[in-house]
Amino acid sequence: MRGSFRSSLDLLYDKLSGVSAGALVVPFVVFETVLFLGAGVYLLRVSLAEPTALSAFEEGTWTVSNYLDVMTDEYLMGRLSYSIRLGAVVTAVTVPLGFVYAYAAWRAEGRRKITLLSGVLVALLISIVIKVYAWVILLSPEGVINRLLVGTVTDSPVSLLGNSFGVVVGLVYSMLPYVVLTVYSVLATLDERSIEAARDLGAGRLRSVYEVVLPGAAPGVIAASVVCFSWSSVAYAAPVFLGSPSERTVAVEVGRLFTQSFDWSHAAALGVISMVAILSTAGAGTLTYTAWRRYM
Amino acid sequence: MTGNHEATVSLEGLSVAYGDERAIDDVSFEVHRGEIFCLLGPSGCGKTTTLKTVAGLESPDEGDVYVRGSRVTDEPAYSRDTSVVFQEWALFPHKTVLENVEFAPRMDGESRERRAEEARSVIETVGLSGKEDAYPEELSGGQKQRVAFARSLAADPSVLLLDEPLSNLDEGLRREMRLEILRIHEEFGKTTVHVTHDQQEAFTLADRVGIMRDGCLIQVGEPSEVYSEPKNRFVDDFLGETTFVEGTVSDGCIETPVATFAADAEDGDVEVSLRPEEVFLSAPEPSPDGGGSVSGTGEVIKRIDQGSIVRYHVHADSLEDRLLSEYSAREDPGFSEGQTVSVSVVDDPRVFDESGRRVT
Repeated sequence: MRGSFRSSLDLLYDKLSGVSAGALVVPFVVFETVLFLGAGVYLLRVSLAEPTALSAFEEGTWTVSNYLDVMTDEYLMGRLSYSIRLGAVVTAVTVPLGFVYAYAAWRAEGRRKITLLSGVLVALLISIVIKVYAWVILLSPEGVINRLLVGTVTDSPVSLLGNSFGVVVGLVYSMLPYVVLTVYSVLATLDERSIEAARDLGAGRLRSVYEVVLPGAAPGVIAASVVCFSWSSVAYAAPVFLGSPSERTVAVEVGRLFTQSFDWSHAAALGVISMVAILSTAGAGTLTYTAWRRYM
Repeated sequence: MTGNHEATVSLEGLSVAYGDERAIDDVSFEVHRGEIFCLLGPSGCGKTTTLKTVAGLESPDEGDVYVRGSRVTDEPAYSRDTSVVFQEWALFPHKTVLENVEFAPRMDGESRERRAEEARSVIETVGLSGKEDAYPEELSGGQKQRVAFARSLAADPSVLLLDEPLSNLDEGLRREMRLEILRIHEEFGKTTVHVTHDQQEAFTLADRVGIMRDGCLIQVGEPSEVYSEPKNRFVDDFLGETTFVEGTVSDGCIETPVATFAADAEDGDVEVSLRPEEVFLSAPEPSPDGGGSVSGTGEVIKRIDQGSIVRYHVHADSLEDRLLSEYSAREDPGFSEGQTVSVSVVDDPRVFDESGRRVT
């Protein structure tokens, strides 16, 4: 019985090893096609249907008025522009911070390396809602930080919550693990001795990182920036819990349209517009960066 | 070799420890201007650590490093007048050959035209003209090797430090690159410290060698001197294939199963080192002039024809270990396996006491 199980495993292995690597990703591609592309197409379809007060949208109808409505809505466009600026600020803070952290983890050895890496992994294990609430406790007017500040640095509590500061802090914290791990995975493929070589040939500490590590880490830095930007600009939890109504992102507005107004058509149109806007901003950023690197 | 024996590099009592483990222990030596000094030793003997301490990539726990007379122990790598050619070359993968080579002049703040000109001239010297715009991954091992040399030479250091730069090449290429290193050395005249575990490489390149073991520098000298007058058993063993034959000293005589030697030594147990070129074979009849102390007979176990040389493995009577005997192809006595031969050895072999110290 066991023997035949073994041999059928061997048989399976033989069969699989004959298969090209491309074929092995077929299940994944099918999964992604159905779930991502399928959902995307449905979203697109809904965004082109006429809205109705009676249900989510009017089935079988075609119109572009939802897009026109959304794009001429000053409030919604203001939210979109805020979202993109928020994403840009969070990315500008998180990526350099994450790069330094990842670099430290890469260069560290033994216990220190393990501690640094498990630090970010542990942060990933905690639910986003809990992380956000933790910041509420830290940042609120009666919170830990204000209790330390009042009487020592200031006379009255500093408002750290209910504004963009709180939202950015919360988002930087939750994005950091993704940035660190993305950059680290690329750094790990680089040869540490090329840094030694650069230093030996006359480059100082920072210069050798700039000259040798950064070009090698570029794919990781770009990937991390795109992930960080596109996730933080459509953040939901941090803006809701750490911000005020003026920190609402497009994601919050889409959610409001879906659940409170029950207006799927406009919600879907806003979703599609946001997606296009954010992806093209990320794309433009990437192109600028690569062009700049090449020029250097 | 230059006549000027001014020390370009000198190490004084250098020690490096990793935790409790001593990587190098009280190492001192001087490298003269313009010479090639080879640090030779088995892997893990501390030779690379020593080299990195000279480069400033490793900082010593004790001792000092001097380059051209000034103390550089606390100077960082980038401000030292030394340059390393790394073991796996450590070329910058995202830079072209030209960009790699002009790196050091660029760090020095030289103008774009000036540094490109310098780099091109060095690239030409190492024989890579036409490859300026290639990336390292497009080059063969030997070419990468040349880029690594060019990159270090372009820094115009007082001291060139080579960390086993040939260990990644196959045998033929390695031999070619050894000669290339000599040619480059002749052309640039750089004082060079070369680290290797390969005795042939060290002996081909070095003006002087330093033999290291377990973090200690054991012996320094010219290759022929170190080879013929090893300080202890380790050096003798490391520098060439040899058979150690046990013996006893009594009344100024060393008795071994192979032969008896006259020796000025204290009584006790010793080991006698017999290198392949010190063991002679002849036809079974005792020859009138055997070339050394005649010692009886043995049987040829193996004959290995390596082309230019022929090697015999001989099982001498009353000896457990096999002796090696080597002849050039021209002088090959032409014995075959299984044949009984008369074995003789030189009359003044190197003798070591039980602690491995050289006795005579």
